Amino acid sequence: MTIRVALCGNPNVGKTSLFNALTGMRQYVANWPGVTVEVKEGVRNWKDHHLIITDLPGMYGMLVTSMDEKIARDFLLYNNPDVVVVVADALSLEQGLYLLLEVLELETKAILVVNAIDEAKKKGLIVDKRELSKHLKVPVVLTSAITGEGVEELLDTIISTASSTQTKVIFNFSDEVERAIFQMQKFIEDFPRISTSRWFTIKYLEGDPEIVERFSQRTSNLPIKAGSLKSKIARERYDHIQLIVKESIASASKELSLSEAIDHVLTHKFIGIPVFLALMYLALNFAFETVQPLSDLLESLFSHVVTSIKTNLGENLISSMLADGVVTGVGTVLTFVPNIFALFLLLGIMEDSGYLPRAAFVMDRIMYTLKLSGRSFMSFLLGFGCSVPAVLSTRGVSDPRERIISVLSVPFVSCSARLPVYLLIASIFFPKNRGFVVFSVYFFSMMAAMVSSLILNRLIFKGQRGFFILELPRYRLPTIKNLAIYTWLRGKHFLVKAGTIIFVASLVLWVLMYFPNPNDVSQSFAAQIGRSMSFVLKPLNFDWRASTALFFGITAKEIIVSTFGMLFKTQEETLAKHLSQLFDPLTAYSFIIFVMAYIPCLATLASIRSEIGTKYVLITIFYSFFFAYAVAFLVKFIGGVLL
Amino acid sequence: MRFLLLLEWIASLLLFLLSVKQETLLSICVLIFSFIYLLGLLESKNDPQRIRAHIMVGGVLFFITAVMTLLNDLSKLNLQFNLPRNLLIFLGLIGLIQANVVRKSFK
Repeated sequence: MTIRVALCGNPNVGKTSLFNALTGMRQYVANWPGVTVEVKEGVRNWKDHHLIITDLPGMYGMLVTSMDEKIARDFLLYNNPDVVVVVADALSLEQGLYLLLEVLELETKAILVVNAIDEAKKKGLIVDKRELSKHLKVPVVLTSAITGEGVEELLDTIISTASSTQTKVIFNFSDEVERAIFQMQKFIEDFPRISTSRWFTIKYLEGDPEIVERFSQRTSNLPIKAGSLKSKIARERYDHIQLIVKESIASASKELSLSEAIDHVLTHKFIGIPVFLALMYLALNFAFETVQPLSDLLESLFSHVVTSIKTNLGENLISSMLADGVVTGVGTVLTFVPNIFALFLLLGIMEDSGYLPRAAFVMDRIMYTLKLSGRSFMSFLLGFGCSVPAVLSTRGVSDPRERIISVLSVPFVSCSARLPVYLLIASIFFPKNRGFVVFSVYFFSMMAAMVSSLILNRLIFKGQRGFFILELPRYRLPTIKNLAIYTWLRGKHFLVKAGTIIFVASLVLWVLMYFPNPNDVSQSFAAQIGRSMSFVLKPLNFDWRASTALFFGITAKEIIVSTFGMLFKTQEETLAKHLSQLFDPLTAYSFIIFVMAYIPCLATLASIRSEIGTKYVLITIFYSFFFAYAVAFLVKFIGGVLL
Repeated sequence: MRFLLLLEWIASLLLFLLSVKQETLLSICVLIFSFIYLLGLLESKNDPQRIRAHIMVGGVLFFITAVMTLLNDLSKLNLQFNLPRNLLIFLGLIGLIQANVVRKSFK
């Protein structure tokens, strides 16, 4: 197979020395830029492949300022090499990366070579090529043209890159620039000999004279002035490059700051993820187990209130509405307030201390292998509190593809509204292992969100990749004031919801359960609704009562608990007895797995609609339902086989 | 410093073995945090800063674990003073002290 390779890079980076090492030809290497003014070619046969390597003149960027640069640029634009090798100097990597980003805009297959790695080592610089490759989404090879280090690896990489099916790598600019690119692209769709309309549009916006001339020849009615975004585009590229270099280049003998020292351990490639999981377990265990006595106290209080109402008002419509409707419905949910507030407190500590972005950073390693980024994980982490702000937080994702995937996957993360359901079921069916059961559901919910992202990426977006770079804030001790505000604001949302949506839903639910026959809930309107859907959920062993609870749970997940409470007209003590007759432990576990993943609440659906449109709301409803069904069925099946 | 890391790593492994049957998940957390000390032992001798980082972070994490566990016991009115619990409290206290001392060596 013949592979055409173009070798480009800034002047004086050792490009021609590398060309010599690759091809074995002798070329003149001088110590000033621009000495190679004509295009040189060489050949190399390597592992049954015939490589034709072209050594292009040095170029600082694609905005040409000299004849050398024009020759190099025109070659890249109009000769369509199979692979472009961008050579950068390890000691001035930023300049080389700027050229690489411009080359990637040509939507060609590219490799970054970091040359003079021997000199970098002498100066105590450590180049992490894996990090570079991860952030740039292209293969990276470290070479020394002088010692020959990395040359064979480069040849292998050229062959693998040429035969790869890697799709284009796009660096997304800010919204303002992307909108301008989108607007201008329409004008050049029919330009002859142009296969990369995005590149040409960007060059127009940067004010490249040749490109501006071509645009102007077509029409004078261009909506955006040529060169109007030149400095903005350059600044965004450099900001991005600086973050990449900070992540990828380390100094061996540098004195560590406190944050760097902590990061050295908490973002360690081996133990970073296990430490994160261990900390999450400790946090969740605190929220579920340690504050449970407070929940039990609230539960006793509401139980006492129900009894008092029935004793004082007798058995009639009003007392039933108050006791079985309002107090049971809302109270059953409010008993979990201590757990919710404790969870928010601990999430607040993680966020305020600066640890949460590190969690996204360590998870980025896993996300990268799933063709995702840690940016999505940041939204997932917010989903632990509530899916609505998690969906809204995806506005910070600049890649539109990744944004849609994040929005569709975030609802799989177990929000605080589902916690009452998990705790109720876990307390009844797994009293000795409650903490572990709930932790496992949270763990599976994260897995579900990641797997969902992977499936959507493959099916809808054909595995395209985006960039992710994250600036890590310094660590700091959380302040009591910030924690109190954080916990109160998020917990307040839960209380307000209890006082509004859950209150109204409980009343509606009570009406549907009370009529037509208050003495037999199995004949109620709610039961009829549940029965009409129970055939769908029958394979999962969920009867009409479970179906009823799940149906009304779409309004708000806490309603599932209220529904059970009202269906059995009881508080938790005897609710436990009734539920243990409704499910066996395996079915109970698959029930909470179903709750974990099925249709998100109305508030979440509304936020999805406002962020990405009605079409995706319908997709979410069907997709989440079938996903939940499949996962719950799998749990039942595997559990049935193993137990 | 490396001797301290070695002692703490052995102590945390012992804690894991003592508590794995009664409190499996907690003991797994202890095992994970013990790896911080182990990796500190494997750091190059010429890089004392990185060794200190392991001492500091490991100490803090054991302190957090001890506090969370004690709060859990307190909420259930079931304070235990058996060997694993005492060892965890000891590792937590030592961890807090060493973290405070070592922290000052970073800029």
